[in-house]
Amino acid sequence: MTSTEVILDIKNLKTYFYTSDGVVAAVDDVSFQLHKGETLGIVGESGCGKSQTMLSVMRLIQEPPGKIVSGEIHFHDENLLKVPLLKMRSLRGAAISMIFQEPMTSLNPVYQVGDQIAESLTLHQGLRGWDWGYRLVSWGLFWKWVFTGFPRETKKRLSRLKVETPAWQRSVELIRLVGIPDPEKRVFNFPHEMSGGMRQRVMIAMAMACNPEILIADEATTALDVTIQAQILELMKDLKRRFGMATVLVTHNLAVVAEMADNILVMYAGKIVEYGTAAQIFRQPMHPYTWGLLHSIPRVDQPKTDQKLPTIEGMVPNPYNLPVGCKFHPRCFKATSVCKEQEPPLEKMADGRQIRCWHRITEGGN
Amino acid sequence: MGGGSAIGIIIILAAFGWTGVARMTRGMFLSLRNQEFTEAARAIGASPMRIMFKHLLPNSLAPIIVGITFSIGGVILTESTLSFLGLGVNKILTPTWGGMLDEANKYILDQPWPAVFSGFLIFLTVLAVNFIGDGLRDALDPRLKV
Repeated sequence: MTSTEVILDIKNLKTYFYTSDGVVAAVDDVSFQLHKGETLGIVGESGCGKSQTMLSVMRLIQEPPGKIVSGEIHFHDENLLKVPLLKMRSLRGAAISMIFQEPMTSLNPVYQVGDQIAESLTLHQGLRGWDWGYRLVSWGLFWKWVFTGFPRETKKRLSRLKVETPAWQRSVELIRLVGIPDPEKRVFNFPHEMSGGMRQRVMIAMAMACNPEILIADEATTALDVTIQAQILELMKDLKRRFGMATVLVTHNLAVVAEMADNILVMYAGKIVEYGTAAQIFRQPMHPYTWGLLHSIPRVDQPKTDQKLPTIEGMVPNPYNLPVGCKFHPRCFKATSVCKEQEPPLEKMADGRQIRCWHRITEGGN
Repeated sequence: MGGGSAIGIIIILAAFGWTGVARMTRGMFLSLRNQEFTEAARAIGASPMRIMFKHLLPNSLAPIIVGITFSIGGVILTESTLSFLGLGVNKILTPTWGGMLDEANKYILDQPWPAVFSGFLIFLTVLAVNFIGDGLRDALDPRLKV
């Protein structure tokens, strides 16, 4: 599945937030590559810069207070940070698209879901969404409604005009693709008429509308309950199998990553602490933070013990006042004096793994 | 104290009457632009103009319409008050309900009808405009449709 062609190459990305209380390094010197057809999972606690990294790729960082200080983001052979805004806008949604966390609020409440899917099609593929006939008739019908009330058959006439536009037909297709039953009727629904899982499906349909090369799912399943989560993941897997886009899963749910990802990137306090294939990371986590994350999940496949579940002590450090040396040392069970003084470099290993730790957990050890 | 011309009063009321609605619209936009769907619109590549007019404006339309209709009522009342105080339109050249109310005030105990009817008509007009606003809001807000 994974080929060697690199489509997204991020080099030394730094995104800082300049607030009145100080500078926050939300993304600090992050470099990684995304290959064609790859699924990359980015995991970490809240506020460790996972979402900010992906928002930087889309250039959607709120500016001010945020600013992409330095770095390069190469998409094919273009540096996205140097590309003019107009070009960037034409890439967003067409080549790189994003699914947001909150399906409840990420859809515009005043538009029918079909219109919202059609919007990205009209923007990027020039498909006709609203023709003048539709506009005139709807304007006329509006005033007719104001004076006389809405007769049923004119409402039908209006929806028939809408259905005939190419963008609308493509939205119906997309809604069918993401597995919403009765798509011809469902496209006319407003977001508040749908359940959370269905809205997330609509979000996926919006993101898939222009066959993007990179799909970023920013905590796409976090707000959903577990059964719906499983359905959405299954759907994303299926779409990936069919269309082969590269996917970035931003999540704090390790189970999701285990299910989906080829490669995993673990972030802590804005930095990459460990990178490797899913098998490597899950079988043998080398960084104490990754080890802690994996071992703090209760497991059903192991015999019950009376021991407490291991946890990672302490809290995420205050971003205004990060510890000196390794950012993780106050919470780390392997910390020594070196960790307090010097930040470990991100070392590349022979098998492609990357790790940032002085005392990595080796096999059999710990 | 003959009062100004009708056009003058209209200009003055218009010049100072729009600010309330403008403030409210600004407030709506400020809160809406932090909503997730705005970010989602940016993420599909919509331009700032498109986001303003196609995403934020329709969402704030309901309160804007209500605000406008209320301010129409308010402006009618202001005009009536000004005329009642003798500061409004010249009563002899242009009769207004407020002016009639002012005139009727002199002999309200003997002949109450001019005061009652002009007051009642002001009330009725303001009420009607507010009802139109309510109706428009219900018509335009999909969340209120059954």
